Amino acid sequence: MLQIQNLTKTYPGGKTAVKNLSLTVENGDLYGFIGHNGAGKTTTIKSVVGLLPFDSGNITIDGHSVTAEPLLCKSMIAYIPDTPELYDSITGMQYLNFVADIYKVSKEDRSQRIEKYARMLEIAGDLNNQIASFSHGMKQKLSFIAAFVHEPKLLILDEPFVGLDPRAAFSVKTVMKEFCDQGNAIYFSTHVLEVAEKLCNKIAIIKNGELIASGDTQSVKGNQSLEEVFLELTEEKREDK
Amino acid sequence: MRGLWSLVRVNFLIFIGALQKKKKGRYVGAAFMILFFLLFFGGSMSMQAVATAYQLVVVYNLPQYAIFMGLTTALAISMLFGLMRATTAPTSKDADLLLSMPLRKSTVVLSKIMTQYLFDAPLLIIMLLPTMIATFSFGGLTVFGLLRGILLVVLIPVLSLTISMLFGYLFSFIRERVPGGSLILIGVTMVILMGYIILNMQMNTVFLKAAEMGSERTTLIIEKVLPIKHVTYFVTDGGWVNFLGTLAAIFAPFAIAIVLFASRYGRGTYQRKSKNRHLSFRVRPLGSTLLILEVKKYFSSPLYVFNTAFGTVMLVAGSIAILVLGPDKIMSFFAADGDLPLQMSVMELAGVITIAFGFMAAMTITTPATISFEGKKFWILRSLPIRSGDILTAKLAMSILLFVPIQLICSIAVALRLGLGPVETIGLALVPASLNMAVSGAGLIINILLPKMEWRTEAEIVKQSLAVLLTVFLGFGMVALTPILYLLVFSRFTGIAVTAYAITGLYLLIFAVEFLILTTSGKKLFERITA
Repeated sequence: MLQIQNLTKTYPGGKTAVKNLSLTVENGDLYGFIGHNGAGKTTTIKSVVGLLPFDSGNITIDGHSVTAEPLLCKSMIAYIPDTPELYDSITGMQYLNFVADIYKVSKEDRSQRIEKYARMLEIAGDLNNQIASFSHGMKQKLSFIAAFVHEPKLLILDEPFVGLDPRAAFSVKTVMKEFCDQGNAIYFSTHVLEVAEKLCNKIAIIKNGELIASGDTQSVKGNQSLEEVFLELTEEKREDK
Repeated sequence: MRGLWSLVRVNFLIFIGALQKKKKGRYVGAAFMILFFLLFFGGSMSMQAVATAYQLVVVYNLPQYAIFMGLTTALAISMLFGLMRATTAPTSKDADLLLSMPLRKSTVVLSKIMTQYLFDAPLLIIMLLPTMIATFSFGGLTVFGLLRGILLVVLIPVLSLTISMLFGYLFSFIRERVPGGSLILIGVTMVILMGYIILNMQMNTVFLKAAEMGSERTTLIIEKVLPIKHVTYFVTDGGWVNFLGTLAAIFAPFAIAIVLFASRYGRGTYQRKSKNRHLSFRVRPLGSTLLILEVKKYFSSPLYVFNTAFGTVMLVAGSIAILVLGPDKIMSFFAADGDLPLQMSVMELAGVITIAFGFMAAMTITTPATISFEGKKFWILRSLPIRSGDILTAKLAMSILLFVPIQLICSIAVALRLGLGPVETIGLALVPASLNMAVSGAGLIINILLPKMEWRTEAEIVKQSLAVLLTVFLGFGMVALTPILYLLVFSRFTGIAVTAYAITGLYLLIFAVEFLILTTSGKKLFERITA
C-alpha cells in the first residue's frame, strides 16, 4: 500500500530531518511510527502526504509515485495532522461537505458515512456549530469524520490520540481496527507506546531521522515491553555518539 | 513595572525573531520597501507641510493656525489608523499564556499597546514633525516652542491607540450580542471612514478659506475646538494650563480606553451555538465549492474585508452621488473645489470618473494576502486532491468578483446618467474591470513569490506584508498608466472612448500573461510553499 524507499529530507537550515528511511506498509497493516520529539516522524508523514518536498528517495501509494501522480495518491489517502487547524469560520457540517465535494462523494454516501462516524464519536449534535467553538478534541473528531468520508485506502495520522477523551479514544481505536480489518491500512505516529504496543501489528522506531528498528510488533519488542525496547534502542544510540 | 518591561522586551524579541527567520533576500526587500515607503510618504508629507506652513506663517502670519492645521490632519489620520485596527478582536494569541502569569490584565494590555506604539509612531511622527520644523524655520515658533512641538509629536500616536482600543472594546461588545455583528461592524466602520474622508476634504477647504479671512476668524476656529485648542497653545505659547490640558486631552481617554479594553482582553471570540440538529448534505461541483470556501474565509476576517472591500463601498457611494447629483453639479463641484473654472466636456468627466473607479479597482484586491491568509490551515488544501490551478483560480475569482460585477453595474448606470452612447459606455466600463483583473493577477503572483505563512495577527499579512505593499504600489502605478497614456499618446490622434478600448486591451493582455504564469511556473512555485 505505502512504500517509502531511501527517503532523505534536509531543511534549508541544513538540518537533515530524515536520512535514507525505508519502510513498507501492507494492506491491512496498522503501522505505528514511534520516536522522540524531533526524530523525523512528522517530516516523514508530511513527505508521504505531499505537504513537504523531499530531497531524494521514492514514495509510492498503491504503486503510484506521490511526486509523479500527486492527485491520484491524495485521492487514495486521508491525512490528519497533529494539531487539527481547521477553518474556524465555517460549521463542522460545511467543512465535511467541502471535503466530500473535493472527493466527489455522492449525497447518499456522505450522509451515511458522516452520520455513522458522527454518532460513533458523539459529535453529531455539534456539527452545525462553527468550528471556532470546537475544543481541540472536537476538532480531532471532526478531522476523523472528514478522513473517513471518502473511504480512503490508507489513513495517515500524526499523533491521533492527542486531545481525545477516553471514550473518543476508544471509539477511534475501534474504528481504526475495523478499517484495517477491511483490508485498508493505517500509518500513524504516536508517543503513546502502550497504545502502539496494543494496537499495531507493525512498528517502526525512528531516532534522529534514521530508522533503528522496524517490523512486526512482536519481533521488534521480543519478550520485553515496547517501552523498554524503545528506551534501550534510543539509549544505545546516544551512547554510540 | 518590572513585569511591564519584561513583556515589552519579549514582544520585541518575538518581532526580531520573526525578522531573523526571513530569508536574506526578503529581509533586504522588506527593508528597502519600508525605507522607500517612509521616504516617499515622509517626503510628500514634508513638502506639503512646508508649503502649508509657508502659506500660513509667511503669507498670512498665522503660526498658531499652522500648528492647528497640522494637528487636525494628524488627528484625523490617527482616527483612521485606530479605526482600522479596531476591527480585530481585543485579544492576542499569547493572551492565555500571559493571563495565566501573576500579572495584571492592564499590565499585559499596556505592554501590547506600548509595543504597538513603536510601530504606529513613525508614520504619525513623519506627518506632524515637518509642520513643527517648518513653522519654526519660518519664524513661527521659538526654540522652546519647537521642543514642545517635538514632545507633542511623540505623544500624538497615543491618540491613535486610544481610538483603536475604544472602538475595539465597542466592536467586541456588539459582536458578542448582535447576530452577524462582525459584518454589521464592517459596514459601520466603512461608513465612518467614508464620512471621515468627506469631512476631512471639507475641513481642509474650510480651514484654508478661513486663513484668507485673517487671524480673528482663525482664532475663533481654534477656540471652538476645545481639546485641540489647549494642545495648539501648548506648542505656541506654553504655560501650565495648556500643558495640563494637553496631558488631559491625551492621557485621560487613553487611561479609560486601557481599562475598557483590558476588561475584554483575552475573552476570545464568542461563538453562537446552533439549535438546528438537522444535517444538510449538499453536493456542489468542485469549482463552486472552492469559490464558496474562499468567500467564507474572506468574510470571516473583518480586518481583511475592511482593508480590501473599501474600494467597492466607495464605488457604490460615489456612483449613487453621481446618479443623484447629475453631471452639471459634479462638474461645478470640481470647479469649486479646485478654485479653477474647469471647462470639462461630459466625455472628459466620464474619463475622470473612470480613473477614479480605477483607483477603487486597485484598492479592492484580495490576492496579495490570500495565500498567506491560509497560514497553518494550508495543510487542508495541500493534502486534498485538488489541482493547484483550481485553488489559484478560485482565489483569483474571489478578488475579481468582489469588485467587477458591482463596478460594471455602477459604471453603466453612471454612463447612462451622463448620457453616453453604448460604445463609450462599454469602453469606459471595461477599463476599471480589466484593471482589477490585472492587479488581482499580479497580487496573486506576488503572494506566491512572497508568502508569509507564519503570522500572529491578521494585520501582519493583510496590512503590513511586503506582498500587499508591492501590489498596492503596482496597482496605483497601473491606474496612473491610463491618464499618462491618454495624455502622452492617445490624445494626439484619438478620443477618450478609443483610448478606453486600447487601455482595456492592454490590461487584458497583462491579465492573460499573468494567468499564463499562474498556470505554469506560478503553479509550481505555489506547490513548493510549505506551512
